[in-house]
Amino acid sequence: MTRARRPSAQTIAVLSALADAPTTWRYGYELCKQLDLRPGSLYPILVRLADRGLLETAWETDPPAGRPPRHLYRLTGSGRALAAELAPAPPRPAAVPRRSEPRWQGA
Amino acid sequence: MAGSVSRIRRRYEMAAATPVVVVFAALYAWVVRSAGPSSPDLMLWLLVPFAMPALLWLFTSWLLVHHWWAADGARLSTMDAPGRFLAVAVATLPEPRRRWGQAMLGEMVEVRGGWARWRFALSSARAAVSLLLPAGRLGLAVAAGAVVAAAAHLAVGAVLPGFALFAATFAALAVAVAVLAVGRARSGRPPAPLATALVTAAVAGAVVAAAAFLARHPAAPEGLTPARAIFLAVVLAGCLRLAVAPARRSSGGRLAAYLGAGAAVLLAAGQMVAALAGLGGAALFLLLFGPAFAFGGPAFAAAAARRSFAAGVEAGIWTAITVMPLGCALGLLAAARAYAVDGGWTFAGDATTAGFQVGGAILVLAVTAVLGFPFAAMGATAGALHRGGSLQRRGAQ
Repeated sequence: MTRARRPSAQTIAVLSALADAPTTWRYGYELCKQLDLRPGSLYPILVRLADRGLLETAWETDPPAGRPPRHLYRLTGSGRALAAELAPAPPRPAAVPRRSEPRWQGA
Repeated sequence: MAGSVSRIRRRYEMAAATPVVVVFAALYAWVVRSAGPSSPDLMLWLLVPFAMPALLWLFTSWLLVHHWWAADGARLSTMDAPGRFLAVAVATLPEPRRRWGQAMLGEMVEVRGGWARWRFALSSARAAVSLLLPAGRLGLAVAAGAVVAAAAHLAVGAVLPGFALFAATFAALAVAVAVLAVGRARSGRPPAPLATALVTAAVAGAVVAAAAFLARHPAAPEGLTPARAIFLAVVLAGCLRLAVAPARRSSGGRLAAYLGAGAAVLLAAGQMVAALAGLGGAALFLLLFGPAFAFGGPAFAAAAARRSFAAGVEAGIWTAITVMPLGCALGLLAAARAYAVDGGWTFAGDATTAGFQVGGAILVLAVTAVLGFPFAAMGATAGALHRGGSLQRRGAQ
C-alpha cells in the first residue's frame, strides 16, 4: 500500500472517530452526526477506506423489527495503524474538519 | 391502501406513456410540416406509419412498467418522495457498489422530518453518483474525449471534410466509453466476449463503410447532415457502450447475448442478400417484419430459458446493438454495389442520389430498432409466462 498524498481532514476525522473505539462496530448515520458530515461526504470516504483494506464492513445480524439491518464499520489492523500514524500530536485540537478542505486523492 | 397503490401505479404508467406520445406526435408534426402544404388526405396517409409504432411503444411502456412494478415498484410505492428518490439513485449503482447504496437507504429510516430527509437523500445521491462515476475518471474521460475529438476533426477534416463532424463526435464518445469502461470493469472480461467482439466489429465496420462510401462518392456527404452525423455517432457509440459494459444486473447472461446477436446477424444478412439480389419485395418485408422475428424470437427464448422477463429484454438489447451497426454497414455496401452494377442510384425504382442512400442507411438503422424493440418486450413477456405462472410472479424474479 502506498500513499500518494496525505488524507484529507475529513478522512482523518473519520479514521480518528473509528479508532476511538477500535473494536466497536459503527454505522454511517452515527458517524455523520458525530462528525457533522453529510452522507455525500462520508460514504465516499468509507468506500475508499474499505477499498484499500483499511475498513472492515458487515451487516447487522439482528436488527430490531421494523428497521432494516445497518451496514457496520470498524478499522482493520492497517486502518488502526494508519489512524495512529495520522493522529495529531497532543493536545488534540477539538475543531471539526471543514468541508471546504481539500479532498483526499490517494491512499 | 390498495386504491392508493393502484393510483401510484397508474401515475407511473402515465409517466412512461407520456414521452412516447410526445415523441411520436412531435415526429409526426415534423414530417407533416416537411412534406409541404398539408391536406387532410396527406395527414391521414402519414398518420398510419406513425400510429402503428406509437401504439406498439405505448404497449411496451405498459409492459415495462408492469414488470418493473412487480420487481421493485410496489416496494417503492410504500416510501415517501425522498426515499423513492434515493432508492432510484441507489438502483443505478453497479453490483460491487450496491451494498453501499443499500447502507445509505437503510440509514435513512432514522432521519426524521421532510426537509432533513430530503437533505439526506440528495447528499446520499451525490455519494451514489460519485461511486458510479468517480470524479477523477469522469474528468479523464471528458479530457481524453475532447483531445481525441479535436485530433479526429483535424485529421479527418483534411481528407474527408463531410465526415469530420461524425468522426470527432464518435471518437470523443468512444474514448469516453473506453475510459469509463476500464474504470468499471472489475473482472476485466465482458460476460459474453464473442457477442462483445461482434458488436465492436460491427461498429467498426459501420464507420469504415460510411467513410469509404463518402470518400468514393463525392455527392454522398450531403446526406450526412450535422444532425444525422451526430445521431449516427451517438447511436454507434451507444452500441459500443452497451456491448463493453452491459447491464449491472444481468439476468440473461451469455445466452441472451448470443441469442440476440445471432438473430441480428441473420436479419442483417437477410437484408443484405435481398438487397444484392434486387429482391425489393423481400427487402421491404424484412424491413417491416424482420425485426418482429429477430427481436421477439431471442427475447422469447432467453426469457423462457431463464424464466425471467429481464433476460428477454437483454436479448432484445443485444439484437438492437448488433443489428443497428451491422445493418448500416451492410446497407451502404449493398448500395455501393448496386451503383457499380446499375451505374445510378435508385430506390423502389425511382432515381435518387448518393446522399439519399446515406440518409436511408441511417433511417433504416433507427427504424429497425424502433420497430423491433417492442417485439422484444412482448417476446420476453410471453417467454417468462411460457412455463406457467402469473405475469406478476415472473416480473418479480
